[in-house]
Amino acid sequence: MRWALGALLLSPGAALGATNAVPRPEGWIGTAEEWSQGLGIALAVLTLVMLAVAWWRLREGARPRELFGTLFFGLAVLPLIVIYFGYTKGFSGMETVQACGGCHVMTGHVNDLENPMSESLAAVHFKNRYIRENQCYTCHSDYGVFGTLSAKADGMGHVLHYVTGTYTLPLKIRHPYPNVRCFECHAGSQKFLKSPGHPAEIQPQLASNEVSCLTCHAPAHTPAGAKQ
Amino acid sequence: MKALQTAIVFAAIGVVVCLWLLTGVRWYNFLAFMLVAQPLLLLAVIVFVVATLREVKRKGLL
Repeated sequence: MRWALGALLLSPGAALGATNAVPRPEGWIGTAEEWSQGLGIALAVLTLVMLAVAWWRLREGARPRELFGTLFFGLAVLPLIVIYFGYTKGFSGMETVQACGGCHVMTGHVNDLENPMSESLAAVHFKNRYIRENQCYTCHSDYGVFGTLSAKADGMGHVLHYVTGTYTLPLKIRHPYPNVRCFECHAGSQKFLKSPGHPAEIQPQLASNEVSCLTCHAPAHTPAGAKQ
Repeated sequence: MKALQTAIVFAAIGVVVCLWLLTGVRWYNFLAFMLVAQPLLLLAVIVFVVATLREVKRKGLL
């Protein structure tokens, strides 16, 4: 009995077991993202408290020189750190499927992605967990530093187009989908190399993007047929 | 005095928007963070620096 209680307390996933057959692993003191979020919130609250104190003391007639330290930290130092945590949280948060589906025009795409009955390329990757998380972002961003920056800039552009209504339906991908994004995971795998659909003579054409992976593996999304 | 109070208001609004983002990311609060919070916080710092320099100059230290 004591052993069972100990195991229950020490096992972080034990409490989840009743509701979720295979709980996702989590650190016992939380993830780095949760810590970053918590620290950011704590520092933002601290900044607001410092600003409130400075405001109140100024109203009471305190001279600015007496408040230099409070104002310096409250206006210059702490907000900078809060912005850093805001970037960390904001950019990682905008990579999630939920963030992409936040715009109504993407609802069809996300419904299709999450529909286990769909056979679109995106849905097959999603339901089989070929990509563990941030599925939209993973397939729609190039690799390396510039790929990340470019994807973030594109994302901001998408939000601005959505807010200003400067988009046309149906949504279409702006540039032809580059095969290199598929190759990042698939190239070199035995399944890819030995597939009769990928004979050695066609692989240079795939590498040079002359032949798109989607020529045979389309459709990537079927938003119109998605269960709403 | 007024300038510093204005800087405090700008910074407070900016930090509140950051706090909103930190509690949960949505496209609208991310947009507010990028387009409202950061310019306001930058403006607050500029106003603070200008007010401090003016004070220093007034005292004849610069």
